[in-house]
Amino acid sequence: MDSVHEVGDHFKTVEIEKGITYRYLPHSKWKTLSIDVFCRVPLKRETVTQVALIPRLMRRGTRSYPTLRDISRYLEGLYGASMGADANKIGPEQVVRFGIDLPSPAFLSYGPPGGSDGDFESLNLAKAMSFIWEVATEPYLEGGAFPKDRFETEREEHRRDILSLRNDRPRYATIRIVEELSRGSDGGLPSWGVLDDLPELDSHKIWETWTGVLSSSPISIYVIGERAEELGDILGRVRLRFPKPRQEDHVFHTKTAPPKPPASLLEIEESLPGEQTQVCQAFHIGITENHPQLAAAIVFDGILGGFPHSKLFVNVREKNSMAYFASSSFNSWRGIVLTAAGVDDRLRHRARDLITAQVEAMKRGEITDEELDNTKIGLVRRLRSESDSQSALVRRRLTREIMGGMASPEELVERILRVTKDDVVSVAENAQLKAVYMLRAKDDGGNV
Amino acid sequence: MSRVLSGSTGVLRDECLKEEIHSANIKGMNVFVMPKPGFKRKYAEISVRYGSNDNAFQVPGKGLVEVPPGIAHFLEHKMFEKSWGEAFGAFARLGASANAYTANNYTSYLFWTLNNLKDTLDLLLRVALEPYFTEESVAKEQDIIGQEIRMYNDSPGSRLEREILQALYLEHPVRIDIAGTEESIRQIDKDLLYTCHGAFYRPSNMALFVGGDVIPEEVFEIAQRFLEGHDAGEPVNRVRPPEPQEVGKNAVVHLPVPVPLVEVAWKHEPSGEDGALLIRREIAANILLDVLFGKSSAFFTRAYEEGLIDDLSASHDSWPDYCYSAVAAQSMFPEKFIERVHEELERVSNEGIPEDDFTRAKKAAIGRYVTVFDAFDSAGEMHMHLFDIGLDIFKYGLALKYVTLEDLSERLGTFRRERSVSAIVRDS
Repeated sequence: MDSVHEVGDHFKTVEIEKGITYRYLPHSKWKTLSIDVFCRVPLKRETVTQVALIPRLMRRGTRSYPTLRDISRYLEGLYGASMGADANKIGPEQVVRFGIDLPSPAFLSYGPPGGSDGDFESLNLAKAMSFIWEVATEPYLEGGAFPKDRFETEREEHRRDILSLRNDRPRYATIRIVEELSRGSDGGLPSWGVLDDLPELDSHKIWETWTGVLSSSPISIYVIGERAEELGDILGRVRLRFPKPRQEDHVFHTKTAPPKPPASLLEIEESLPGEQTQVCQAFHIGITENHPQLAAAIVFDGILGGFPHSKLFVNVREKNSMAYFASSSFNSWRGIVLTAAGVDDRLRHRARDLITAQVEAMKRGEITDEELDNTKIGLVRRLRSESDSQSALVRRRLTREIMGGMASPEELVERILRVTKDDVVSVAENAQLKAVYMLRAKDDGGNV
Repeated sequence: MSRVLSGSTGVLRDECLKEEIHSANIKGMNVFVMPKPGFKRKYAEISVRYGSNDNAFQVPGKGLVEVPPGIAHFLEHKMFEKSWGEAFGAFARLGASANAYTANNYTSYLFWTLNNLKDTLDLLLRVALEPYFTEESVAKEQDIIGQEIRMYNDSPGSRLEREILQALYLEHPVRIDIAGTEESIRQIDKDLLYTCHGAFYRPSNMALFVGGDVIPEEVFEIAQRFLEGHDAGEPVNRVRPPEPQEVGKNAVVHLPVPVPLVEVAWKHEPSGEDGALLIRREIAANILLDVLFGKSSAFFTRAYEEGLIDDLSASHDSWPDYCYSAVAAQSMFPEKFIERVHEELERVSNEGIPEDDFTRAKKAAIGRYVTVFDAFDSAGEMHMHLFDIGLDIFKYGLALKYVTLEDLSERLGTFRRERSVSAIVRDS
């Protein structure tokens, strides 16, 4: 087994002003410089759908770059910098990201042969930062609202996006089971909002909501890559502009609880014509981020379905040839482990029973030393590998910020290495099947 | 086609990018190492010059062998099963995460790891070079791959891709689905697998790439020791049917999609064995597609603002024996999208490509090229494929620097409507 060693990739943190933090990690091993601005919003039915539309509306145009084309041309001028704006869910929060990735200037003495290149010199952090800040806070407006035509287009495209989730059937099945487990809970809402709420939105109201969010939301700015430290000096000198003054005393702290698991087993069958039936199950294990058994829960999920050596892959795929994929994933905010497999419709009940049987086997202590060791090594590799990926590092740090007190990757490594078979069995003993969802390829009538 | 270093080692370097690639030819296998100090993960990939397109070939003593569609992919699955057990488990014991995939022209075996490079690399070489097939395990795999095929059949994006290639190519095997069909894979048996393995899985038909904080000589030694008893192998004679210049019929498929998917593709004349020409054309075609259909193009911004499309992807694929370009989108009005695409090509052909559009798109392409080196799996694959046509990853960067507006104009002439097809996936 690996010896524990220092990861050494810690973000440095500066609080620019109350509720606004700047975290940076300078490192010359990457040729990309990545800047992300995250605005954290508590999940609430009243705002979730409006906030979900914000990334779409903001990337349509800003005060200085009023059209889509102006923005795209500006990015091309920065050597094909890529801009991203999206809304994701992390635990109880909807997190809106405005990000820009650009090639580090140091490697770009590549311009047209012979010619000098003005943009090369000016390609710097400050410029990219002020651009992405403008995207987040200063959209192109008409009469104090998003232009009507843009608003209508984006609302319609967002509606189609939500409907198109079903194009990816394995993913759609996991979205549906989570949706069923979240009924009536704000914390259970998805990052894209609620389809039925879209018609109610209004281009004035949505800008009002966003200015409110900007004035009270915790904001985190992450910069990672070569010379990332330089931005600290700049941010220390300038004052970030907001459409409405910051209400420093009102910066919220999320307390939204995860949805309660259903009292009795939920069994749902739906059909969508196709060739493969998706079988999803949710096991409630009741262990969440700050629980002392967190590491054991992660190992439990890994042995069950996190790897090609795991029980689901070996039994459902390799031994029984029932599926091409069979895996599990752990949601440490909800405290549930989800399993997923794609099978022939006629084998759906056999697959369901075979998957449940793997959890039952773990309850009985049927875990080999090899399963335990291989899973621990695999988890350690995944955690330590994060230090090579800019997006994984940012994601991990941001998740810690939101979930509070979560272990650092290296602390988690230490805890995972100490997990014993008995620890895993005690997690399994508390695992309760709470929902079975089948997205059937063929419909032969009625629900179960 | 491949450049042979005959036992000697060499170093390719780019001072501006601060990158280097060490290479050696060992028993016919080209071995490349890209040192990446500061990174914790190590990556290794064996790329076999054998893909779904290689379904007819000459075998000395057997003559022409024709194999069922999907066999290259089937073989890839079966290479993880060994007389001593399951290779995935062996990778897991070493702390590595392994994977493999089959494309039209290549099959790749790869792993990521933090430690144990020597043993893991040894295992990867065994996976690719030590076949073990039984009738029983072949039968078992047919069901697993059957589910994989169904999963792709249920994916609207995969269906669109297959339909467009079948419409574009009348004879060339690129029109055949990589995984084959549930029927075609039933024809596969262990003898056929041994025949394909024996013909293509030879050191001289493979390359190995390792990226990460590693010492090149150590990698060369591991490969040297492993390949000691192996025979380099003879070049394989692949047989491809002649492909007419004409294209087939437009396609419409019905799947339960809320928004239709649409794609337009053009068949271009392939460049043949001249690698430098192939790459110059490929780069020009990619920049041209960006100028015509990229995020800052007149076409995209107008279509987006009207609500015709929400996103658009453009791609270009070029190989010595076939070459095509494509644009795909989701649209409520797929026929209108197809018309617009052709109108735009006609307009730009008449008016010419604006110089400043070219300059900006080229600059963006240079920036994207630089960041490829952050993903050393992509960089490694790119380098191995370029090496097979007599180039390398740094020459690609140089070719990018020297591409001209004239190169784009020349490519524009090869986007001819009578050489194009369209495919639509929509609800019935």
